[in-house]
Amino acid sequence: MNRQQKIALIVLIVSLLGMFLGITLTLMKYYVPDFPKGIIAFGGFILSIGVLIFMSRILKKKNGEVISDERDQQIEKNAYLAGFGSVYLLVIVVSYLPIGIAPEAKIPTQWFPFLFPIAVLCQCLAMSISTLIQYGRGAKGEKS
Amino acid sequence: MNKLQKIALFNLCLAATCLLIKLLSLLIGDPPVKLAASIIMLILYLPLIPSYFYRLKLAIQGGSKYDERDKSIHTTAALYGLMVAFSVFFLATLLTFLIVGPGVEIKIGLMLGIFILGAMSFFTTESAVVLVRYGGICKGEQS
Repeated sequence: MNRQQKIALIVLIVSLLGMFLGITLTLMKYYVPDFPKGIIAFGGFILSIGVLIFMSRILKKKNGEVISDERDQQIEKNAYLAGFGSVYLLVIVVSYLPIGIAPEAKIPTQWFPFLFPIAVLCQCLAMSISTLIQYGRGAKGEKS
Repeated sequence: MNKLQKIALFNLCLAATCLLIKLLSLLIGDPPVKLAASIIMLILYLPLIPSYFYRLKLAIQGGSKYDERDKSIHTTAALYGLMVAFSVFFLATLLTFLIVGPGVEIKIGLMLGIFILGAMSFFTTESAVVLVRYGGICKGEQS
């Protein structure tokens, strides 16, 4: 596995974990009385710092190592395209689906700030999956 | 100027006009102005569709009309376009949230308006980047 594949795999795992936690916390917020928001937010902050430190340790650049070549750059470009493309697909769904279901309905504005993290999550998932697919699944790809 | 540059220039003119009209209709907000803007935008939208299919046809044909360099330029342009559309969409939702404030409900049609704004930004940026990448309007091969 090369550097880009490692990054993609870590991002994929963290994104899936984030999605799972997000859904669980949203459900808990509605169904559990006295939901400890502060503790959960602090826990999330500590967890994200832990992930960042873990990533920087694993992906530390060795002296004289070539990080990426033309092919890696092309794969990265395609992955970005897949990521932004999937976000725009999400935007299309978010814009058209409510009109199709209930044309006269109204949306609470407090939902708007949540669109951004959802889009970022969607992009991270699409980018990492696209990178892994382009390099080939499993143990394929160069060692680093 | 080659065929791809001509298509990009044509798309840029239409998409930029649509974007301006959409922005004006969002700012003015009168129902007759909105209706007129929607009709003009629909008329301007229609030529965009065949022009994109024409470019797709050139891409499928390949060869000298659409080589590796053209493919790379159009991929980069699409990436820039999507990035700008992403930024416009989320900036628009954030501004709506900041202006209207939390606890208020807005019409669902506004989301569609924001989406169209994002789509027009995508077309405008993509066409502009294609032209810039080919080295302006006057450069490039003749066709």
